[in-house]
Amino acid sequence: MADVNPLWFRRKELFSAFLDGELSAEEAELVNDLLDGDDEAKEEFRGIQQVRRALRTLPELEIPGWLLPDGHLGELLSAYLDGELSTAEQRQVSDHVVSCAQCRGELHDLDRARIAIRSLPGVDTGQLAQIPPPPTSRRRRLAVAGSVGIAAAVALFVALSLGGDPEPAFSLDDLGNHHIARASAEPGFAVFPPAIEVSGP
Amino acid sequence: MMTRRLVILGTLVSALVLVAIPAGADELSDYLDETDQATYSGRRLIGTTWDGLERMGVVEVEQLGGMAMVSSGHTYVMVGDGKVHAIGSPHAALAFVLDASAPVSHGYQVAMGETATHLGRSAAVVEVTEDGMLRMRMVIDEDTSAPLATEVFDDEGNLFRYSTMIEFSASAPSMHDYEDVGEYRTMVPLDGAVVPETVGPYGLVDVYGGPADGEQAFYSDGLFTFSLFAIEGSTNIDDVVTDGRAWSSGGFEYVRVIAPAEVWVLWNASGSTYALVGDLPPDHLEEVLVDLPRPAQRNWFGRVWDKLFG
Amino acid sequence: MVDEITPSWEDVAQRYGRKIYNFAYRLTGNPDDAADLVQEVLLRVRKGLSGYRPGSFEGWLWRITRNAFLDGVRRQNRRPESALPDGDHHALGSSPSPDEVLASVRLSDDIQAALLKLPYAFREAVVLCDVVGLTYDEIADATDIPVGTVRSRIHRGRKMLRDLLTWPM
Repeated sequence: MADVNPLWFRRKELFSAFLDGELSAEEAELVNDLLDGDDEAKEEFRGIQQVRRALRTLPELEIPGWLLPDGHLGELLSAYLDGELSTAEQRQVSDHVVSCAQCRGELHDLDRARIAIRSLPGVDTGQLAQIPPPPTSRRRRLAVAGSVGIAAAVALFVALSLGGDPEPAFSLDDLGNHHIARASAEPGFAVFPPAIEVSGP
Repeated sequence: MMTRRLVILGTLVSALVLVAIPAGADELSDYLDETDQATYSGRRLIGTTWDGLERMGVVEVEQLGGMAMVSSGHTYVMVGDGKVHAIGSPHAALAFVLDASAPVSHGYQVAMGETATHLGRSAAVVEVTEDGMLRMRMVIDEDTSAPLATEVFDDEGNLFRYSTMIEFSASAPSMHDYEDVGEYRTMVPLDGAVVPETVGPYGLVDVYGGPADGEQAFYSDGLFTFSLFAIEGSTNIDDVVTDGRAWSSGGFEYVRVIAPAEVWVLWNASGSTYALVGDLPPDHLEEVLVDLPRPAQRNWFGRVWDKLFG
Repeated sequence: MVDEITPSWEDVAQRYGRKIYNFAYRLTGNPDDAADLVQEVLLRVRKGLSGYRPGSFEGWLWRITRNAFLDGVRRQNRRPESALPDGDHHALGSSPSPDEVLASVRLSDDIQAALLKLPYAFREAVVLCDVVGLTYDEIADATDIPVGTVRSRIHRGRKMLRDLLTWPM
């Protein structure tokens, strides 16, 4: 048996590393060897070079102006109300708010909105992410409270409360899909879909 | 062309002296990664054989960019990168949120065998040994890195699982755009679930909320993997499984289902239902079950044993 | 690189804000998600600066950025939107001809669409290398994976992109 040679499969990765200037002198020489007289390898090299160039000349987008600091507290206010700041930072906030009408107003609005949401009946506030702040700052999306499994739990409850033999709460296909989805992220997983007719005794 | 490749290989081998090769956990997954990224299509036969029972199936495969479309008759499944979409099946579009976690490795040794020809194609043979015993052999297409054939062995050297392409093409022209699927149900890792960190030779990778409000714990040993589902409440397993059979392990009775690419084991224990599904070989499976809650019901032999010595 | 002076939050926002925005935009294809990420990162930076120990500042920053991105994915209980952009909001610079603008917008739309088809690990590696401009060591540091794996993912990501861009779409 030959010795393990992982480079055999990974030889083409040298092309990318070469273009990125990440190779030592010896490795760079290997690249020349690989390209020498091998048209297929040359084509792959050119392809990588093209993609790399295209990526590097993608326009650099302008960041929306309102994301940059303007001397006001912005998102820090929510963190302040949620008790997430250190004592020093809390002092920072309160010092600023004392002399800044804009932030004072925003803090007030945020606080009212928070109280309003938390007093809604049946809302699990542990599940809520940031609440939508007033229009001057960025609106954040509410995380939807976990709806995965609720339908199934309801079905199970209904089934059990009907008495007698309950319908099974799960199917093998369901479990199979969950397993295949997760396992497919692992290297070398052989995919065989569930619910396929098979042969055999 | 072949001679040129051998010369290059020779150059690379000698260059190993100059170039530092990172050894260890990365290597096996490198080979497996390589086959995952191949572009190819065709038909594949997969089969499992255990205790004289054999289950085989044939699927059409198209693979491109780390995603695979696998189909048989009217069932289509798009899989890859922690996502599955069973096309046409409701509630079967799942996506897992994955961390780039370190791969689990349990001391598999990897070696290259003789080159081979398979389906008329030039191929490399990779052999994976476990404590000196051959556990898996992969035949990998030199041109595309596609896995042309695979064999997995039990601890007595018997063939346990095999797969082989029966038609093969080095292109995958008709991959559906999986982005057009619509909503995936996103499965997010569960915090604070209480599951064993190691089970037999396998290590816990992550835990998710599973169907029926249960939990899905995902385990790996660097080569094989399995999911362990735990669902509250006992279940009449025969209502869930159509071709299961009673099977004994360690003196306890389980329900086992053999499928072409994986094995299922189902049982009830301490007020919960357990389902284990994975591609692990029989000896690993038995070791794993030792470290999991045992079924309430002993099998016949177990009951006799308990009576005599309990 | 060891930094002598820890930058202020405003410095960080001014100096790195655009890069972080581009990182998030190229990863998600979505200006809203990108803006959310910048906000979250700047907030974490602001909260974390007091505890920051001098070391590799960029490494620290990119680790925060990446964790914020993954946490954002977790918080949304659905797949992140990958809607095609209408056309990149253009960068500053000398004004190109209308043909050039059209051609470059179309190409960059194609590239963005192709990027979104890559599995996350590869997309992230390629974006950190070719959009953000980190070295392999810096990427390894930010993502906690070995340099060899970084190299592998970058190469595979580019290869996949090339296949997707020459494939009929």
